[in-house]
Amino acid sequence: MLLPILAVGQTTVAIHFEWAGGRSNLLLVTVLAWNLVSRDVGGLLWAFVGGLSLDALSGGPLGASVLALLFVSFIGYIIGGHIWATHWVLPLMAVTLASLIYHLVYLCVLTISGWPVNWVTAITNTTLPSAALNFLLMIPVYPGMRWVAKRIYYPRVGI
Amino acid sequence: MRQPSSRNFTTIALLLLIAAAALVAWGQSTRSSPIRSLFSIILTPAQTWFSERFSPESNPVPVGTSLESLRIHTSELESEVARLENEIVRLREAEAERNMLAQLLQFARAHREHSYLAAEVVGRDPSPFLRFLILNKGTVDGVSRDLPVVASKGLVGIITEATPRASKVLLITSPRMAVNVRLLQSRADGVLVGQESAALRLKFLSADAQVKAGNVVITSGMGGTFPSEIPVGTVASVRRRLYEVFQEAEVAPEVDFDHLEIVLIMTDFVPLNLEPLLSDPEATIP
Repeated sequence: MLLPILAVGQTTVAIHFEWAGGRSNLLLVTVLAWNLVSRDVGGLLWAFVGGLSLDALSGGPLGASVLALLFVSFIGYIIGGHIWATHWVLPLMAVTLASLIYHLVYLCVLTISGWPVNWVTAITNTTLPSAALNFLLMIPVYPGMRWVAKRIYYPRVGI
Repeated sequence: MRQPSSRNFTTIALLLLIAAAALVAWGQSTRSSPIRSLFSIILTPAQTWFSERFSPESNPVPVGTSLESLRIHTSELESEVARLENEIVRLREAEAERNMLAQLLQFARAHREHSYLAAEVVGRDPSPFLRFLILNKGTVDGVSRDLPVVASKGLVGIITEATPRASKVLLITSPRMAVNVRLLQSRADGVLVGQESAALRLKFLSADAQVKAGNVVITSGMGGTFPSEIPVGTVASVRRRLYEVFQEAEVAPEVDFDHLEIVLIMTDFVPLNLEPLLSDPEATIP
């Protein structure tokens, strides 16, 4: 339920927070943060459902966001298992990398689907500013996801 | 954290990847997807709710929370002020909406030959690479594919997809869009295409056409995709090279696409299908 709501938020609220042609992606950051902290199959499902919600609200090719978010999920899964996973720098590096991969996969699907894509302009004018915005968005989202994951995976037990 | 087996993760990841690729392939082969329609039916009411509350023009005025600690009289006055401030915001919103509707009505009166349906913009494309608007009117309101969409200042785009309660508009600023246009002053024809930037590019203008900055660009009606004489923009600059057959111009759109709230859909427009005329002309000769 959270992911379709985030997708709606992306089309109504996040569009007002643009910088230099880039736009933050609530779903990308949430899915990545969840995969980093949980390293669970559920993270893949988050990516799938979240991507479908985004595609339903987009005029772009169906499945583009699903594919792109699945790649983000892999990145989260791989980096989340790293020995330095608990270090605060890692999620920030991960979100920068994930933003680049997300946009590259999305642009690939657009190109395959016959959309006119100017790769250089798209990457310099949209991908890089979007990565910077996602970097900033990760700062509050990651601790939030860690808190939620702790509550889910380590339930308190009374003695 | 819970650690699932790597094999499990890989299997599910592969299955989901295949499903995503199948979705992309399916999306290519079908014009309208039931999955999209289903999601749209569920998400559009939520989108409308969010859009109404989070548009920059309609932020409610927050009411102070420490009123309990104040004396009753001050408390009453403060709540009255808050109520009045809310009222002002509501009235400003109503006034802005009235102005917008008045401008749209003016446009509709100037172009009486068409029927219009007003629709609210409830969302924009989540992808920064795509230029779509989401409207709160769909097939139950008489909206269908290929209907032109206009605002008070001119052409906005074309409906590319309609579900029962919502529809998507491809903006004329999209690189995927091409509009046949005419210069109002010189009557020269050209094709307007979207670009990555906000400006539009006017192509295929005859080299001997008189074009200069400030010329008004309107739709020509050629091709039958859009009605004629809808304002589109004004020429910002012209690029003319001696060795080129055509000249090009940068066009600034009339419509402010970032602040569109209400648009008009031309519900009675019937786009012409010219494909039968274009395919193998000799086959039709008896």
